[in-house]
Amino acid sequence: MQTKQIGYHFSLKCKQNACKARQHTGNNSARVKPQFNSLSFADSTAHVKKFLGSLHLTLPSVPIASPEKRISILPTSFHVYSFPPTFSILHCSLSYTISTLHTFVLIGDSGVGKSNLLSRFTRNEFNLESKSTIGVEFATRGIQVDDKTIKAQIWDTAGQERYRAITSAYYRGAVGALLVYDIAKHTTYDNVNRWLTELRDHADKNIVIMLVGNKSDLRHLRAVPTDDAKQFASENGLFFIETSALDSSNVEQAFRQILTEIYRIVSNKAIDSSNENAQPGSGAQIIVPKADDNTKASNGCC
Amino acid sequence: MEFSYATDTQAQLSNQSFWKRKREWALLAVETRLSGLSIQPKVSSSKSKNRLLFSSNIIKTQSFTALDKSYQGIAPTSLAPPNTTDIKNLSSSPLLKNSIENVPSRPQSTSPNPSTSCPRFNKIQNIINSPSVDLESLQKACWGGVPYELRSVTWQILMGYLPCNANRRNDTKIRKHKDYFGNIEKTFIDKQDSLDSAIWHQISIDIPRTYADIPMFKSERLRDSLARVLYCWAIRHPASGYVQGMNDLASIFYAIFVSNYLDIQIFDITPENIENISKSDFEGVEADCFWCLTNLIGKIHDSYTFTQPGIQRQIIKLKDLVQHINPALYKHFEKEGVQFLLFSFRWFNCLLIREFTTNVILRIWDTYLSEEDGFSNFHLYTCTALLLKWADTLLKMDFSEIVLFLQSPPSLQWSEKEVEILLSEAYTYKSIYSYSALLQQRQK
Repeated sequence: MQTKQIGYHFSLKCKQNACKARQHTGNNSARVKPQFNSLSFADSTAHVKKFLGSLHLTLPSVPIASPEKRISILPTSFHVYSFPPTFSILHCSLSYTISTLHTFVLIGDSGVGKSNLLSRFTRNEFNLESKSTIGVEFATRGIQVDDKTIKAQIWDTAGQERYRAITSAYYRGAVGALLVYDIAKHTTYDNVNRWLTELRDHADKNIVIMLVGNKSDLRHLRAVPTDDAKQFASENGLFFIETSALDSSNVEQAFRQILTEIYRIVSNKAIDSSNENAQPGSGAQIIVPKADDNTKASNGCC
Repeated sequence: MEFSYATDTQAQLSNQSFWKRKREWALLAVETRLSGLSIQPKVSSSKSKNRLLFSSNIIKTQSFTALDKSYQGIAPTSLAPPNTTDIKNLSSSPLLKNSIENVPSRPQSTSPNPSTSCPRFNKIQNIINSPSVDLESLQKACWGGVPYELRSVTWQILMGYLPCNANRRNDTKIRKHKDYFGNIEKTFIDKQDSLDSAIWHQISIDIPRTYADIPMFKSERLRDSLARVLYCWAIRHPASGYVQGMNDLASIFYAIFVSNYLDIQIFDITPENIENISKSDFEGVEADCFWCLTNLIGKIHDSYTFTQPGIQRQIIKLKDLVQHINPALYKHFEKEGVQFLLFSFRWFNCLLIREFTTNVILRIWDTYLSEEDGFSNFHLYTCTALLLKWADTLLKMDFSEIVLFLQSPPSLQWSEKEVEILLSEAYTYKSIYSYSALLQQRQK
């Protein structure tokens, strides 16, 4: 399962009303250069709607056709109904992209370094004295795969058994799971099987799982041989990598690898599904009020 | 002070005017509270020379074994008040006699320390020093904050650990300390075999992560002691066992009791200071922490049992309150798919310890301890007030922004002043909504 997220990009170029500008200068004969202001933002739906509402425009309904669809409306000229008219819009465009959100979960025993893996990946931070995770925590990061930015939402879960009821609810929406163990503590590796059962019980059956042996910097304390874990991973159809959140080795690769893998699977599916129900003419139009005389007059002033 | 739904006059009132009246009343109440806050003492960083009468939570006995000999009259697990002969036996011990007799005759505080000369300080101290503490007036006096030097003893009384009767206080303490160490002995007697390894393992993982930013928690001695307290508690309460976050709760008591004992501000205590505490005194602190933790979690035990029903219920109530008070925010959360569980779970699990700095959380707990059901009911309203404080900011955010914002909220930068306002707001909400049908329906 993946979540569709719609990102809007709205850009606006407008000219300050020349009449008003002239009033300020108090010189009728002076030629005031039209001043252009431009406004551009990418924001949440609520914000865009509110802004358009202030311009007496409505947001067109967005057909969800296929990911990464872009629709632009340009160039359009219209007048803003406000009195006195303060600016005229010369150019306006609204585009949106539908991108797929990839949701991940980080699971594994308590104290294996899940939270630090996440903070290393999303903020490039590491804290030896990080506090235990209570319930679930969340972070997000965009990553480039095949010239496309994929946004990853990552849920970091508490390792303790008591929180399983709460954390397992977050497995359901996940397309990928990083199952973390500590290479210096064999018990955390022994519990991997239990975590796999947990995932099979609660998560989507197509979930991509990567086995992550963390704390690879603790070479002298290693309790789980790499080959054992590798073999276990291949037997169970898991990806495998050893990382160290402390010296940041392989952290980026781990997330990148699983993201790329999921992206492949998802985009293959998307191609299949878009062939099945192709939606022609999925463009959107902004309803633009016709430029009235007032606009022309104010334009004529300069 | 309660509005009853049953009276005829109120039934005649339209719903709106009823709420209006209720709100007006509550605001009035807050004003009175706030006027009380203006005399809130500043916590002084200078060392107070007067060791407070009861604030040193340690009974000056040299060791518990010595104590046992002079104290065979009382069964270690008995919670019944001891009879007078026991007390007489007890006071015959020179050490204890000294401590008991000395306590009331210590000179009153005359130092120029700003904290000890303020009216609130004197008021609370007078209440505590009276032969029988009037719990209600103590709660009233402590609502607006307990001066730093008095926290240890005040909290222990408010927690229900120390009795109101001043004469029985030392006695209870000794009995409780003995009880605790009896338990410790039983729990750790054949250390590795009987140890519940899963609980012990979890505690030993969490101990180094407990308040790692406060220097005193780097002390091995303190860590070992904290682990003992948590483990002993978990073994005695198999319904919940140890749940992550309890270490945070216990550490608050350590911070306060150790700091009051040493008379050093929490952040200035070094591991060396901890090492220098005598064995018996440190054991006393440990036992005090254990019993205060027991009493605290006892109030909210269903928050930690299987599937944590207490927290689930609190979250539903929080949701109802927000929906009622700020429907726009509620709708926004619903639209963005933000579940209340996501951010408020930790608020209820760790009682806001992760959301505020230590000094500020102590101030919040002062009020909680002065409220009936402070850690469950009043805490709910504090959480509500906290969330609604950021309503305007949250309304402009989308899902991930909201979650990230609430995960590391700006309350970490708050000072005590801002928190006092928050608590007053919580009090307002409590006054308006605690008798409302809204929550009572849910309770059914």
